[in-house]
Amino acid sequence: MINIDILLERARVLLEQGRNKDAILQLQQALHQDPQNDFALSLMGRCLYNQKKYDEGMGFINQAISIRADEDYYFYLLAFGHYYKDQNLVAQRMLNKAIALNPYAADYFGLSALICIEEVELKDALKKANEGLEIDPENITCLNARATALNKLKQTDAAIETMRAALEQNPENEFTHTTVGWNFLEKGKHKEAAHHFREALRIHPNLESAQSGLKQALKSRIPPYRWLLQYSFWISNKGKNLQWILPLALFVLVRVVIAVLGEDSQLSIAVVSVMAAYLLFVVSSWVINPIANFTLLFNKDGKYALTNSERWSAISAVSALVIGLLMMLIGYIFSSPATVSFTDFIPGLILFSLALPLSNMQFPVSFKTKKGSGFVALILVILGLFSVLMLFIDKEGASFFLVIYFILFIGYNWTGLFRN
Amino acid sequence: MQNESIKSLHEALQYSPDNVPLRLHLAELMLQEKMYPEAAGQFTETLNRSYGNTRAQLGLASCYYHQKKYSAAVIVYEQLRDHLPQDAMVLYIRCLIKENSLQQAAELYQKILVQSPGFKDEEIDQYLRLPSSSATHQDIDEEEEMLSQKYFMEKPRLKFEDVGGMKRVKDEISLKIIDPLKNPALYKAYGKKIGGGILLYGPPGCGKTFIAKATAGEIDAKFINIGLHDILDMWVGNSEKNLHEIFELARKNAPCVLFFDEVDAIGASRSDLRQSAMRHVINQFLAELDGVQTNNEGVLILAATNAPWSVDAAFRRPGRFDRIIFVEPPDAAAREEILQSLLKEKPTESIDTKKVAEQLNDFSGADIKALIDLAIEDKLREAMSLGTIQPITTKDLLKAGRTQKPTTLEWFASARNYALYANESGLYDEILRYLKIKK
Repeated sequence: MINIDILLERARVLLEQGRNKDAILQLQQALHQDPQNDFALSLMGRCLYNQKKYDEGMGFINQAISIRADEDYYFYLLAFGHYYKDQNLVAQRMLNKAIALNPYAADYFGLSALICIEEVELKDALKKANEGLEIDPENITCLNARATALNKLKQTDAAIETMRAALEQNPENEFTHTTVGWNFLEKGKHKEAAHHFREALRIHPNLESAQSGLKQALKSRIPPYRWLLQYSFWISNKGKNLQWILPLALFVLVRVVIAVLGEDSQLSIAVVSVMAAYLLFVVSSWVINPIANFTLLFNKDGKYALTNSERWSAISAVSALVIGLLMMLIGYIFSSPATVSFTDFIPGLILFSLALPLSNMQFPVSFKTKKGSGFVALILVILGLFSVLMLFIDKEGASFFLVIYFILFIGYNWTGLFRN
Repeated sequence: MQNESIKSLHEALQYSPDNVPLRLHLAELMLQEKMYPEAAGQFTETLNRSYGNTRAQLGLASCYYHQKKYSAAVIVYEQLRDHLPQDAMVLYIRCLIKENSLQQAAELYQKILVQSPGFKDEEIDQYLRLPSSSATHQDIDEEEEMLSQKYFMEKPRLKFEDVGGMKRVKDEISLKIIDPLKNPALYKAYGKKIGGGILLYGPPGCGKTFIAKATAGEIDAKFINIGLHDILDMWVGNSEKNLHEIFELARKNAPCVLFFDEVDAIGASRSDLRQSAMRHVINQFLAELDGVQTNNEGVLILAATNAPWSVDAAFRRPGRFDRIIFVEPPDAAAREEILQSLLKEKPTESIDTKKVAEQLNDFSGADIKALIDLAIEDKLREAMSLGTIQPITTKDLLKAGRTQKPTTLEWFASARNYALYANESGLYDEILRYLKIKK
């Protein structure tokens, strides 16, 4: 039998080398010998985190804590699991415990600051980051958290200063480059952002946040997308709940104003047009994304930055837009000017509208999709195509399907306001 | 003349028996004259009068040695252990060898070699240097046996012709390793340096170990396979000793192919490398690789990795792993060969291996093996319920191929990003070529 210390040492080295599977094999042997070894349990938890199995991982960390409740690092690990699972409140609570047990670990404050940033508690984030930096002025997590918080608080100069410090500290840190990239992106400087994302990817090519950052930076080259991105940064900095409160508030406002002043008053018209403009903006934002993705297909780097699903979603949505427009044009040209009516445009309009569900669909298409909205999108596409076909075969029968399509389409997009 | 002086000294001693220098002088003269029993007597007498006299002890031990009383000599030398002059040390070692205490002898011999590196003593060398040639000596044989078992030394019969596909890899290995070995003069004429290792990389299960073993078979050499655990234990245990041990074993058994599987494990993650203490394993490995203290002639070093990006950049310098070869998943023709060889002794029914092979894009050799296992399990169940052996058909294999995903995809998903974003020196061009990505 191999000595348990050797097994644990092996596991530790393997974990550091990113060989999670091999590390788990060693840990299983170690735990077989001593199921109550808290160090082995914590290593096991970390391996599972790396494999994105957060629930299982937290199970092991909890076991470790039940054996040694005074180890601050275990609480930090537990906080990490909750953070990944977006359970920020619990994560923060665990971090507080870790900090209470050991107030001198800068990383604990760093993670706490990052969580505050996610919760848009920017001042708290800055405070935590600064506390961490008091312990260790070179802590990369704290420096990055501080830079991001400052940037979002519009203290640009201080943010730039902090970023420079972090980069000087370690120019080969992929996380710093990613943070700097996002901060530039938020400032609308997509070229600088792209540079830093590329640098991060050169160091760690599989870093997901840098990959998505690079994608955003490349897409930002087309102005409408850039505005959209600025809007989404703005709204996410206003707090997590605004995203779904805003449309609801607007809707309530419209109803109230119309009820009080009547439909014809000028104010009502103004409010309704604001609502309509907002709806148009939100809905168009859903289509801008696939269009921006489509432009990436012709870019040297962008081509490979897209996932397969994004690529096909972009191609299909843009094709729907183009074919829809063409059909409307053909409908206009071929119908005599005297008899031109709305119905001639219906097939083109439906195809055009299909761009919306198509841009939200997962490819390759599957009926077993886990997302309910994805399933509805798929039904919409099938229904839409079917009714266009029916329009050419049996106009009377088609109207039934058209009504269903219309209702479903409105419902789909209305709920879409709250989905994102 | 000498005899006379011995005689007169002897007489003189009768009158002053306590004169220690005189007695010592006499004893040493006797020793010179090879009068060993008499000399021993005088030395003993001296020691009786002057206890612990080093000169007398050395003389006595020397007498015992010449009288073949080795164990007695060892006892005397043992007392003087730390104050032995070199010539006495040599005698001591010889005694130890005769007494079969080889390990102790070897340790002492190393001490001499440290003091005077050029030292040579044929009698000792016969036993302690080149132990592999002294087949008569059990201890050393056993130790080596233990080592070669510990590190799985074997002599593979596998040849290149047994390896399906991989033509490019075979050609590269031939050019770099096999041809220089067969035509050393030719390489010398062009001034091409022989040596350096080859690093094989690629997705798991695509035959990196297999081709390394076949390389050994091709040149009729021994093969030592150093796996992940051996490497890991370098981190855990006394790494320098283990690493040296491995290289020494290979050198002693030249020609020999020394194969490091998962060589990236020798370097740790980047964050660790900043701690300079962790670098010692790498440095030791590089020193052995370069053959700083010893000659690596006849030792061919191959290494494999699934994660070439984690391999320390220092490994890739000229003279080390200066040739880096991408071992890609087998192509359709190679897959067909693999299928055929795996199905050779199984109950089958006119299988269209070509058709199956064409369906198995991106499947590695290991994946194909797993797929056949899957098909066989299904067949076993069927055979059990029917009570007769059911042959495997093309359909079964195609079905299994649909349910199984090739494991190489995961590797390529990660490798692709390295090739796209971190391909500074064109290291991963082969991956881009395989994925048909044009940059």
